[in-house]
Amino acid sequence: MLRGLYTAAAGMIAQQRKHDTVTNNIANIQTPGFKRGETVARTFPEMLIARIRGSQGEPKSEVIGRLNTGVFAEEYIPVFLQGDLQETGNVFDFALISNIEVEGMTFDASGKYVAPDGQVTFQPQAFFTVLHPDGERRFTRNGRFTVDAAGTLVTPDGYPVLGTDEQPIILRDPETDAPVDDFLLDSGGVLRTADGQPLGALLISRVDQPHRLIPEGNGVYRLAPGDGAPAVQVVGGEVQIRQGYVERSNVDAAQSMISMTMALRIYEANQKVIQYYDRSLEKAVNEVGRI
Amino acid sequence: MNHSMIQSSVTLMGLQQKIDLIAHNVANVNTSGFKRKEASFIDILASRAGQPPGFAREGRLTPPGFHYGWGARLGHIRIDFSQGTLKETGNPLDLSIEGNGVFEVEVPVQDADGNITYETRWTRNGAFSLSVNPEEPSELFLVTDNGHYVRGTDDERIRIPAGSKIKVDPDGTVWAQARPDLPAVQVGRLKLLRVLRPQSLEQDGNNLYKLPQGMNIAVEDVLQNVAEEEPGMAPIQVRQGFLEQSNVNLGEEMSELLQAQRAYQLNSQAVRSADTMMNIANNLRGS
Repeated sequence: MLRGLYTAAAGMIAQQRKHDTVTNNIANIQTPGFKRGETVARTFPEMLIARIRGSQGEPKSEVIGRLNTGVFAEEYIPVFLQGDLQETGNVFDFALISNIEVEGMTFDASGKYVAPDGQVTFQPQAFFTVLHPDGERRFTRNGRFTVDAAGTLVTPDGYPVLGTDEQPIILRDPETDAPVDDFLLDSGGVLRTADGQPLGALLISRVDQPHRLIPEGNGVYRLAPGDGAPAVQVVGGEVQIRQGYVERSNVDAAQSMISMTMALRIYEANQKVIQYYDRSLEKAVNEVGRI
Repeated sequence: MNHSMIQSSVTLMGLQQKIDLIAHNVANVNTSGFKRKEASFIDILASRAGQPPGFAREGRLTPPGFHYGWGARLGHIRIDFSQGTLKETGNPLDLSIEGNGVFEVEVPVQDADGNITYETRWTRNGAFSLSVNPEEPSELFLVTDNGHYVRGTDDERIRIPAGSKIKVDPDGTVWAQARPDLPAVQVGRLKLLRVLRPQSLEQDGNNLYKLPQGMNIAVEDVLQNVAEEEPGMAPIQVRQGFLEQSNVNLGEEMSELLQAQRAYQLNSQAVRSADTMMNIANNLRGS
């Protein structure tokens, strides 16, 4: 039996998934607040190989060793590295700068900390909190907001942006109910009218295990089922909001090209392996036992 | 199925739209009163392939399921209402607005029965001229360069006696002086509106803006009549003899174009890579 034929085929499929993830990153190189994803591959479960018929004088059955017969793309992990800030000058654009420290942990360039026992911890991240039409909260780093006709601060898809009072932020003067067109964000995350009247404070959620967030598209993430609601992050210090800026995608073009080429070539290598098995099979079928 | 191909081609389409938008801005770099448009990308709604609980093995970091993204689309196109520079022309009929305001004009619309009704539009383009009132030849109307009538605060067209000199005050009041030895008479006041919600305005071509139809948006929520405002708001003033230039910044547009083009190239590389992949799969059996 040629086990490797299926192993190579599994390798091709896994590389295809990797390639898909990289091309999706490339596709979102201009998407504000986008966080690139990485595919993690895992080997198929191990199996034990044993000899079932030995030669004379040898034991009937002997364990040879362990064998993995394939690989699959196991998971997609979003990498929440800070993106660069780009100035837009628009008062409806907000960018989050998040660098939450955890005591006793030093996070590396990819935002994770590996303890001496191998335990991996990801750096907690801050997010804008928006309300999905299904009534649940969503989290986003895309602070390119706009306003609807009623004066609610919304994402480009119309999800209201929540304030610290857990209500959507309404850009209307609290006294006169007149629409407010000019507002400023103070260092504490509070939106104020030009004469200093508070309109509401942006609700920033602190997600302690950001890698468990599920990317939903439209720039938003949702919590994995069973995960607890994130804590409220105080603005200032480790987490800051900048008005008039957007956070750019954290996809790196050069890195993506390399990953893409690599996925393609490993895919090709696996194809070659399949072709070699094909030759072996050809020999077995057509040449062995030819008279 | 080749997801890479779908992702990249969808994104190429979005990038093409962005390049079109930049081209539109660049083409209007000399259109007076033109406001540039800008757009940004959003990732397309993603799907998630299910994985049975058995996949939750030791060392796994994410909840069960595998994420598939589908590329990016162009979303959230908005008009940048920032002030353009004012250029002196010396023409008394060239008016420009300093501040976040618009002029109100009326545009003839022909309905199904062939009757002409007038609809309200707004513009920043103050390159006005005069047109003769067909019913009263001694009277001229103030019109835009497309011939649309400019409205005054009384919601009527601004009428000016023929042959008079025109002077416009910063608050929009229009004076006409028939002869140098006669005092100027007030003939109306330009209707100026403060733009409160530029997001709710829609471009209507010919440098005009309108409210989007069928969305039930109240005019008061979008525009505010400057003449009825309480003092203390940021000033909106009319400058006579000046024209507002387009607020397109060529340098900015070119750098945007460069980035969009590079992203386009990168995505076409992804298409090529996906194509090579399909070729490899096709040649699995060898030739």
